[in-house]
Formats: sequence, C-alpha cells, structure tokens
Amino acid sequence: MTRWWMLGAALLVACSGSAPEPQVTASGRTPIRIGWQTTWATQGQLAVALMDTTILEEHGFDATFHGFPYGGPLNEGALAGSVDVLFTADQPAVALGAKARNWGIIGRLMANRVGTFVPPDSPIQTAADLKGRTVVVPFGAAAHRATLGAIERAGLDPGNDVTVANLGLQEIVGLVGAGAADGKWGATDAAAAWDPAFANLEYTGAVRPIDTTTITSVVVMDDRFEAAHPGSNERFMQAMHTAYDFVRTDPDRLAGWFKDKSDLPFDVGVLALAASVEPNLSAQSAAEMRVHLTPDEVKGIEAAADFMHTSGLLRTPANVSSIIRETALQPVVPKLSADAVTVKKVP
Amino acid sequence: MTDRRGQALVVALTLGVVVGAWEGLARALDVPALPAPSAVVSMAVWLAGEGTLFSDVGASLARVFTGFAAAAVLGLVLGAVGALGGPWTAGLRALVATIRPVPPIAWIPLSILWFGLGDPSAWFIVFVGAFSPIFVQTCWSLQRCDPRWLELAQSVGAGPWLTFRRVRLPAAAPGVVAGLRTGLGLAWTSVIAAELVGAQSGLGYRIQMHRVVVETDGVIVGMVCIGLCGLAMDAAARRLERRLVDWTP
Repeated sequence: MTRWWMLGAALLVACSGSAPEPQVTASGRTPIRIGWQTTWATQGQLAVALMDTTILEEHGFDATFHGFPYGGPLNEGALAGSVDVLFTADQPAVALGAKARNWGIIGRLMANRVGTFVPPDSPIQTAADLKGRTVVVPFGAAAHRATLGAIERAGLDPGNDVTVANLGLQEIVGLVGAGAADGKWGATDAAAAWDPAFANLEYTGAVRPIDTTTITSVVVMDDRFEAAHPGSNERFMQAMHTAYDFVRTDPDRLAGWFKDKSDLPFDVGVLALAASVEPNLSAQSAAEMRVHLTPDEVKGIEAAADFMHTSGLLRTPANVSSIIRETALQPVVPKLSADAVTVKKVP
Repeated sequence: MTDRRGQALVVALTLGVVVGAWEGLARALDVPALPAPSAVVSMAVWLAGEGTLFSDVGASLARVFTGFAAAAVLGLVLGAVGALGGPWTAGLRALVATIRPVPPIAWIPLSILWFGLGDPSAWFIVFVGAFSPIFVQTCWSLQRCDPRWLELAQSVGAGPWLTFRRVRLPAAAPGVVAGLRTGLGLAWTSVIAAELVGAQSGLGYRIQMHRVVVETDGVIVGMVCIGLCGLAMDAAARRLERRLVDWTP
C-alpha cells in the first residue's frame, strides 16, 4: 500500500511542473536552469558563451544547461518544469505562451534564417515557378509559414497552385543527401528548412535557395521564476547582451566552441552563414547591439500567431501582447563588457 | 448475473475509477501537462465537428489494411516456401531473421527515398512491420506438423499436395492465424510511426501536429483513438480466428 502512495506522490510531482523555489546556491547566486537547442546556429554560440565563461556568474546566476533537439521537446520540458528559461523560435514561443500563461517572452534572442530551396540544376528560379510543383516542409514550423508566405508573395495560391507536403527536417536533409535527378529529389521539386541545416545545404552547394526569410527568435522565462527571484529577467537579458558582445568580438572562436560542444558535422563557415543575418554580430560596438524587441519584430511574432490559428495549429487565436513581457520591449543597459569576461574552460 | 455481465461491470467500474481519478487529479493540479478527461472529450468533439478526426482515422486504417494485405500475401507465400522449400530456403529464413529486429521506424528514411512522399512509403512501413511475424509463424507452424500425421497420410497413399492441403495446412492454421493477428497489431503501431514523420493525414500526423503546439489534450485524443481502433481490430481478428480455426482453444 505504501508503494501505491509513493507512486501517487511521484505522479503528482511529475505532473505539477514543479514551480521554482526562492533559493540561492552556496555561492549566494540564483540557480537557473536554461533550456537550449543543441544544434541551432547562432543561439548555440550564445549558449556556449554563457556556459563556458563567467558571464552568468557575474550576473548572479549559477546555471545548469539542458539541451533539447528542437522547440517541441523544449516546450514539453518547460511544461514539465525542467527549465526556468529557454531559447526558442517565434512559433514555439507563441504555442507555449498560449498554453501556459506563466511563460512569457522576456527578450530577443536572434534573427535566424529559414529558406525554400531547389536542387542546383532545377529549372525553378523563383517562388513563382513553383506553380504545379511539389514542395516539402516541416508542417507547423516557421519554415512552413515562410514557404507559404513566399508562394503567396509570388501571386500563387498555396492551397491550389502548389502541392505543399509535410516532411520532417531530418527527412528533408536525407532526401537532399540522396541526390537529385533531372532537377528534382524524386517527386519533390523544392523543400524548406532552417539554419544550420539550410545553411549547410546552401554552403555545400547541395541546394539553391529561391527564398530566404528572417524570423525573430526569443528568450522565454517562467513568471514563477521571476516572482521567486525578482529582477532575474532583466539580469538574464543583461547577461545575454554581454554574451552577444563576447560572440561579436570573436565569432569564429565561438563557432568553433559550439561546433565542438554539439559535435556538429559541418564547417564553421556554415555557422558564419547562418549568423550573417544577425545584426548584433555585425555591430561595430556593444552600444549598437540590442536584445529587446522592436515593433517590427513584435509584428513578426503576431504574424506567426495568426498563421498558427489560420492554419489550424491553434484552435483559438493567441493573444501575443499577453505573451510578451514588458522587459522584452525595453532596451537593456549592459553591466559587463566582453573584455571583462573570463573564460572558465575552452571546450 | 452472468459471468459476462459481471466482467463488463468490473471493466466499467475500473474505467470509471481511473477516469474519475484522472479528472480529479487534473483539476487539482490544473497544469497543461495533464489535461482533464473532460478537456480531452471537448477536443475530440471539436475535432469530430471539424471532420479531421474521422478523416484521420480513415486514412490510418486505409494505410494499415493496404500494407497488411501485402504483408499477409507475401508472408504466407514466402513462409510456406521457407517451411517446405528444402534446404536452400535456409538463406530466406536467415534473411528474415536478420531484418526482423530492425524496427519499422528505422526504415522511414529509406521508404521516403524509395517510394516518395504519401501513402506508398507508409504502406511500405506497415508492410515491414507486419511481414516478419506472418512469415515466421507460417514457416514455423508448417514445419512443426506432427510426423506421425504425415506418416499416416503417406501410408494411405496421399500425395504431397493432398498431404499439404489435408494435413499440414489444418495443423498449421492456428499458428498461421495467430501470426496474422500479431502482424495486424504491429501494422497498426507501424502506421503511427510512419505518419509521425512524413504524412499529411492520419492519427500519427495529428498527434505530431498537436505536439508542435503543446496541445496535450489533442495528443491524448489521438492516443485514445489509436487504442480504440487497435482494440476493435484485435476483436475483429479474434472473431475471424474463431470462425476460420474453430478448433483453436
């Protein structure tokens, strides 16, 4: 009988998504659990900068990092109470915020690319040439929205003029890897993916992009963590600003750290291509960088939420303004510059 | 009260207690990770109203029956060849024994490359999942026929065909039908795996789409449908089994 009670208690704890407790570590710093995506470019360089330097300690955090393959499992980790803050794309952030009101966007993570591409010898030159063709995309991902947007901007109806089919990212990479014949991958004329998979395919000449869209990814935090540790959202975004400064001053070094940490099977040039759309990394000084959202970026997140509703992914429209926290819209005043950062260990 | 009624009452009570406890726990915790049964029912009603629930169930069932039919035909024929084809068929049995431990989901990348997107690749995954148990059970059941029965058939002058039809086949039938039932169950689990990755419809696809937006209630609707369909298919297969091999205990 005791075992049944223990089982019930364990189930309760597992299901309740345990709320963060107001506590500090022996060092007097705030313990924080960070959910990151182990193969996601640019975000990866920022994550390793936070992991392998004293940036977080300098901002009063003792961090543990939890790697996830992509946004879906990361959201599940958030709902299970396994992380306090996470790095994710606009659509997963909207999905999480719409489902659990205690999760909100506290800042800007990065600009990242999603692309629609064809075999190098394909006769397709632009999205307008996709009429009557088959395009594969991972349904529900930002690449899905970007590809449908490209088709619409070309004056085509994605529902009637183009066959848009669902295929997972890994399967798309496998399809391209198997090689094209007569400008097609089997029965597939075009595909869509995000960086670094897209950058790797482009960098190696395996594909030719016909449309590239930049989307905004974000930092999402559990409100209960902020309530238990007031001011932690601002401190965390200050740390992100310093991490950006650190990556900006030596991007190749950080790309190498990330490549080694995640055992990525491609050239660091791929990571540079993926990072090329991030304005913070081409800034001339730390003062030019920002980790808050602009009105245009908020509009982009609203477009993501609209897409999720109109495409049937969400039953009811998500209220983006209730998902974005006030701190996400305020410029961050950095506390630490890159040259004051100490490297804990070279990965 | 008959035994059957008593059993039904026990099943209903068990389900009632489990669902009631689930509802109570979900309401007490009020977290998205554990939606209440009432929320799951509400999602199911909405999906049914939209028409997607029935079209997804239909799409999955159609893929199962197509892939299973191919696996049944080839599994029965090759199983018979493997059992009766002489020593050279050892290679065939070894080949199947090697392929058998590979889970159907591992074939997904190849199936997409070989058969493209859509139903053919899903049929192939279902075929791979269902084929091995049908082949193995057919082969084993035909081989293990009691030698005394075969000797008796020979002693009364029965030729190989008559022996096969009147002795080996009836003796093997219970095992063969059990293999078909196992194959059908594996076909059902395989189709869900296939739909999780490269499908445009079906219960596996719907679960994946609900996962993307952390709609846990939608995921559970898909899981319940999978369970109910699997249960219905197994019940139908049992009924057919009783008709086809009525000497089965």
